[in-house]
Amino acid sequence: MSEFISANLPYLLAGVSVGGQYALIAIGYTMVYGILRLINFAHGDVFMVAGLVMVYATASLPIYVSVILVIVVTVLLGVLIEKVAYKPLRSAPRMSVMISAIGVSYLLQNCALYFTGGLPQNYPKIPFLSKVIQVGPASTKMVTVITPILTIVLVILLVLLIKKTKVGMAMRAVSKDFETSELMGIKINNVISMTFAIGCFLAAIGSLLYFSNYTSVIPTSGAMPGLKAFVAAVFGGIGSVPGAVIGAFIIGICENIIKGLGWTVFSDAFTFVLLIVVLLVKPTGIFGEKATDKV
Amino acid sequence: MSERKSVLRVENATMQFGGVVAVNNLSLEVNQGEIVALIGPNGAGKTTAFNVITGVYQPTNGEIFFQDTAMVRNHPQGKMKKLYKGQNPTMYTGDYKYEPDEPEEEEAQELTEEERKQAEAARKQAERAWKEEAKQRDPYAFSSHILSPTPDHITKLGIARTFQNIRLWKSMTVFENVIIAKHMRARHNVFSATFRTSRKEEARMREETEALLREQGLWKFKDELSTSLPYGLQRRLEIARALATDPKLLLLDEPAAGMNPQETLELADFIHEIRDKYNLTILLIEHHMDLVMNISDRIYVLDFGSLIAQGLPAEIQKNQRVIDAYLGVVEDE
Amino acid sequence: MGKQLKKKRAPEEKAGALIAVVLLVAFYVFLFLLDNAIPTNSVTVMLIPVLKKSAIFALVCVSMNLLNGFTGLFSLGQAGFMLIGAYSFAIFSIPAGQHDAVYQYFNGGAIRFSIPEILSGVLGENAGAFWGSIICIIIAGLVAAVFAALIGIPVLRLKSDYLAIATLGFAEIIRAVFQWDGLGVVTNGSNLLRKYTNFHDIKIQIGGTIFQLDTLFPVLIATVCILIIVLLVNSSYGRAFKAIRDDEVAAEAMGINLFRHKMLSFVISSFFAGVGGALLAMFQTTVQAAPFRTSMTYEILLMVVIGGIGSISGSCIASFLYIAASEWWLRFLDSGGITVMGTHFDIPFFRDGFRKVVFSVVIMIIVLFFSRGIMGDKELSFAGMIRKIRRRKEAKGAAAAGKEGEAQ
Repeated sequence: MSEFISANLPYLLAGVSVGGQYALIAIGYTMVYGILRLINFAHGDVFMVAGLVMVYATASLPIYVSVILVIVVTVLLGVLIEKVAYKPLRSAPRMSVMISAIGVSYLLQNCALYFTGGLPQNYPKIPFLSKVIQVGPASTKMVTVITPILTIVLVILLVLLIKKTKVGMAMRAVSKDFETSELMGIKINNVISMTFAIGCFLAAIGSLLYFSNYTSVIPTSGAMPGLKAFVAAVFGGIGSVPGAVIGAFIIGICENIIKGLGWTVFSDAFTFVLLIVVLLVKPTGIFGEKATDKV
Repeated sequence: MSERKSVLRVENATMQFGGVVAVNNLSLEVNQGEIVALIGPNGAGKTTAFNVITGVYQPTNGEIFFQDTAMVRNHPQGKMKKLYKGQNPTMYTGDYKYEPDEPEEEEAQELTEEERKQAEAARKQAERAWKEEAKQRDPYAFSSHILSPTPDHITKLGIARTFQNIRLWKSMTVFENVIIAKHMRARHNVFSATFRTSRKEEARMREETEALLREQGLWKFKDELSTSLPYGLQRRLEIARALATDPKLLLLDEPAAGMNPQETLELADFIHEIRDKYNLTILLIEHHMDLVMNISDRIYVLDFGSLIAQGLPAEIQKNQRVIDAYLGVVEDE
Repeated sequence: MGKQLKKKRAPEEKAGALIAVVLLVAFYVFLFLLDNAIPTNSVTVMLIPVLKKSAIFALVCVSMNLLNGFTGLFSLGQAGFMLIGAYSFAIFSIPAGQHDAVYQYFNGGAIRFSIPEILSGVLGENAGAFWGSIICIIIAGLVAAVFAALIGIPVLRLKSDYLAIATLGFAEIIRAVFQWDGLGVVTNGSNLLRKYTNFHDIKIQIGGTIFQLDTLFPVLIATVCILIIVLLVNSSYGRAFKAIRDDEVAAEAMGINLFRHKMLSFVISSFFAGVGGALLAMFQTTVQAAPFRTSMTYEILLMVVIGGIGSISGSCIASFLYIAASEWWLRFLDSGGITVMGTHFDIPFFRDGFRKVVFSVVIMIIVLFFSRGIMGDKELSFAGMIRKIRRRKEAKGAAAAGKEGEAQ
């Protein structure tokens, strides 16, 4: 038994840690979808940009200043994307907005390609996070242990924000009924900006944690984690924050167990199999609300 | 009137959304050639009833017969039993278990292997015969699933409808809107249609569409976008589209909505005209009381999902419950 | 009566069709000359690959448009079906003698025949390669269509963005499966497939001379396929697809079986995506699963959007512009500067990748401000042009007559 644990503990730890990182990205997807009914395909790339900003910032700034800079830049980028690429299409068909999101994703990836010259950028070591520690029989980086704790703390704070504050109430109202909320005097645009800001803030923190586990950032680094986080959001019931977090942990853990079993080729595919199964069996996810079409 | 052939018969239909019962134990019948109106205050469940009849919703409970053949029904042992116990409990007491008349003989143990086999075979045969007989009475007696065809299937059987909030295909011309309704009955497949080997069929569809549009006075608009037509003509086009499916029963959902008195008068004539011309039976939802009283042979009144009255127009006009439902009951001070 | 009602063809339409046919034939002749008579120069060296690639992507875009633009199913699985097509084509056309080299890690693989080779034995080398590749292309389409049918059963019940994400997921699963070593005897795992028939092998023999069909072949296949899609879109089924796109509820209420028609559209679209994939494999001369990722689907989608969702001619024009711009006209953006009249100007931000940045900015501008694309949902029609010119002439004539009248 102990042998089994010591053999599989690294995968489990990695799974929990990656799950936490996916959770931080997934919240951005789920909140935006809840309000705009939009799959923000660019969110994964925002996450990648956060990684690159860290790379470039640490080249000339001390690490803690860089961390703050990363968060600020990412939040601004998210809000900017919303204002430029989604706001003008608010009354357009949903497909147009989704295409716009794909366009933004393409743009961010190409910009990253241009700035990096296509070379992988070495991610700086954040001293505290990159420290190697011993968990039982396995040695791992500090970030592995920090991630789930930090994720849960942040999620609790977020849920409190949504449940208790005025902004949170506005968000819930807007996600329930867009037009009525507007008529009731809620400043829709502020709420949407706020949603993007929160989503990107969490994605920035997620990127700090995620890339600390990897050595480098490339322009397509964000695509796969982004898609997986989205799947996590769907799995948990899109629009639901706790659902997204639980979904993300499940996906992170399963994925790493599959890697542990030697099926690395299928670790990505598994996520999508899970997605399709969920969509077919319970399209609204674990915590999703049922919506009925009116004829 | 009772000698007339039944076209549509709804029995104990119930439609429940979560805790809301939108249609409650509705039974109605429409006979060949009749014009029947379904009326009731807003939110009474009229459109839901239409959606149940046309297969958009699968009823929580109940049966719908089209020309005396079960078209939609829930089996008593099916899923609705768990969800809803209707006001007509006898529907669910039907017991579909085979019970042999006589209990098995007590000396069963003394029977030889051979005899036991024979007895078993006889019993099985009796059960089979019983099942056959039960199926004769009720073709769906042993199907645990719910019989509820999709809307396209029901349309193919011969029920066409219009929508309360006009649902024409917006990016298409008047001509296309009508010819698409002919698609389902055309004898072609995707290959013969693509490679133009079923050209005759296409020509026939075009001919019929042209004839229909001319009859409906819409031919001069054939190349215009459906949405560019004035409101009244859009309603007319929607009816023409429904007629293009060659229906036997036509369901009209508020055909007079948004029309002025003059147009409403014309509509009454129009409905009579199409009924006679195409040999239709018509069930309509309408708020316009003048129109309803003028054209309907019989009227059903729904309130809060339940049927509160039915009868001839004159009877309905005098019915106290109907008047209360429409005006609200004035409570004594 | 019947004859009277038969659709009358306006003279403009006849003339328009004639012009289209003449232009197409002229284009084919030009390509034939390009392959055989025109010597290579600095223009043709760029033009030929651009023409091949844009023909392939035009086909793929049109197939996506059939689904997204005409049936209203927002599917993002195109790259997956192209992958299936590309692999099917390659697997069935690697010459038997090359199997040991290609499948070096899998003992020469499981499939040890090549359709073009078998046909070469019967028809002679050139005809064998020609017809063999056509058969392989059709197989590629069919395999993709079969996969689509299987995927469609569960997925087509989903609505809008859920459908998009599910098809995208399936494309990723397909990619993983094709890279899996367990299927290596067929797919060669994550290694390249190579040495199969490519465009350079396509030749015809007329009299005693052998002519190359390098460029003509892909364009011919692509145009034939696109014409078939045009015929489909203009048939009764095409109208039914559009009805589903416009209003599903109404379409179902008018007797259109949603699932059957969505499935048809999905399978047909995937068939042609598979054909496109096969052509792409021929173009690249090697094929590997890795590049058929989601970003490829995105690129195809963006081409469709630039051309106009719901316009077939738009898709064709857009894919040519897109490929030509990204592979030819905007190359200079990556080259460190521009050369005007023999002098070279260094421009500091012109370096690798700048082309793609400019490109994506242009795309964003189109998406945001010209969301109808080049053609909207209209088609390029010569009949329409003739009509317009005639009307303008008539208007001018009327104006002139009016002036004369005034003068008098």
